Amino acid sequence: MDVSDDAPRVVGEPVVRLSDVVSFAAVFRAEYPGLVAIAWGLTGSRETAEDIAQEALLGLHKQLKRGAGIENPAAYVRRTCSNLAVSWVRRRMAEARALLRNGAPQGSAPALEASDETFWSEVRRLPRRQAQVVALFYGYDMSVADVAAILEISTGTAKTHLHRGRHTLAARLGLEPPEDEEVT
Amino acid sequence: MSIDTLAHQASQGLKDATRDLDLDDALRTTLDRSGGRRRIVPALVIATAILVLIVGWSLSGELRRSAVPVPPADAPSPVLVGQKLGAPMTAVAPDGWEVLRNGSYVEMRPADGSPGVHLFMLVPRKVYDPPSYELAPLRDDPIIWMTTHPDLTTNGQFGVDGPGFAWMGTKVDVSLKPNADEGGLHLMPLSKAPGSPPLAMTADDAMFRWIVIYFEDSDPLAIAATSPTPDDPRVIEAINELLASIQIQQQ
Repeated sequence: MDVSDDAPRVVGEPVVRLSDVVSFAAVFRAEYPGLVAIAWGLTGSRETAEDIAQEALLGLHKQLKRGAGIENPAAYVRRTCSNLAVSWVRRRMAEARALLRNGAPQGSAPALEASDETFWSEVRRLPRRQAQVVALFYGYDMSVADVAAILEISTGTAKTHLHRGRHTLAARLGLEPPEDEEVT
Repeated sequence: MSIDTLAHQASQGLKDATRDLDLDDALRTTLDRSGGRRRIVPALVIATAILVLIVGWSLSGELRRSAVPVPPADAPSPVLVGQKLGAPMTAVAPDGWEVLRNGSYVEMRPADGSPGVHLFMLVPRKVYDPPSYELAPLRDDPIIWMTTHPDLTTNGQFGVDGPGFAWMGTKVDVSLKPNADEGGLHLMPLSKAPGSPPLAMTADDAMFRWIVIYFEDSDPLAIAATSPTPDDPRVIEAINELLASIQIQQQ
């Protein structure tokens, strides 16, 4: 599956609206790969990321079963997933569940390139909100306004987090400080 | 290479590495999870509700008065603290300590009457924000506010397990940087215990211990700070024990 082509990109206008026609499965298929990717970047573990992505989608499923209307399911699961991923407790719980279910980390899971892993390991060192904003901004290649909408924070706050995160990453990775005008 | 180029490359790397996901299997697993293991949640909710009722009934009346001493019991039992917080919280007094509390603070005092330590539990709404140090609403993540504060050095982070529901804690040791103003730095307007020193950081009393408690997908509920700075290991251990016993009652 080509994730980059299938993953919704515009948060303000949800690609998939839940209705009688579009099922939970459709949302799952559209969102799951992207959620795993983001959670992987934020946790450093693919097994944990898969568990967290499923947990986020499970939350949506529960909401639907309760009859709760979810205006933007993509934003809902992305917000939930990124929150779970940066949560220390949840990460530990998810790892424990994944270990229980799978017995041990799957050695066959593909590893990231060293440079990619270096970048994401530095993202994980960022403060919680900065890490979330950076992961969503780059992971989904979305605008700051869309990141802000997902995290339910103001665009200005998201810009501040992104600005600080990018500068910290550039400094730690030995790169030139980013141009602020690049961020929109 | 720019940070943007590296970030996009690293993001693409993640996407490439997740191309082999078995969506059908993952969907099946997720739907399976919506069944069996969720049955534990109602039991936990009921247990929490019973605990709230018992604690609320046993402490009703007494809790509404300020600074009511709670003598240590033979068997440690939770006391309700932080009634003015976003959610009621309970904590267990460490053995050998008694706890004075009102809605927004806890004072821990050794049972032998020696000086204790104030442990503030509050919901900060406004802080003195650099660089102007004008009073401003606390940003949506107090940890970021603290870690980016030009006058503070922070370190440390850990989680606290919640009973039956998901929440996390972050504790940061905060200290003034050596070049901070010697006159002290007011971080936020605080409600404080009667007779307790104002919670302002000064060069002489620079270490505070914080715990910020979140519910998932919600605003931070509480920040706790100790004053004066505990330097006795037994005091620190008691504080940690109290903090570790904090439970947010499900609303």
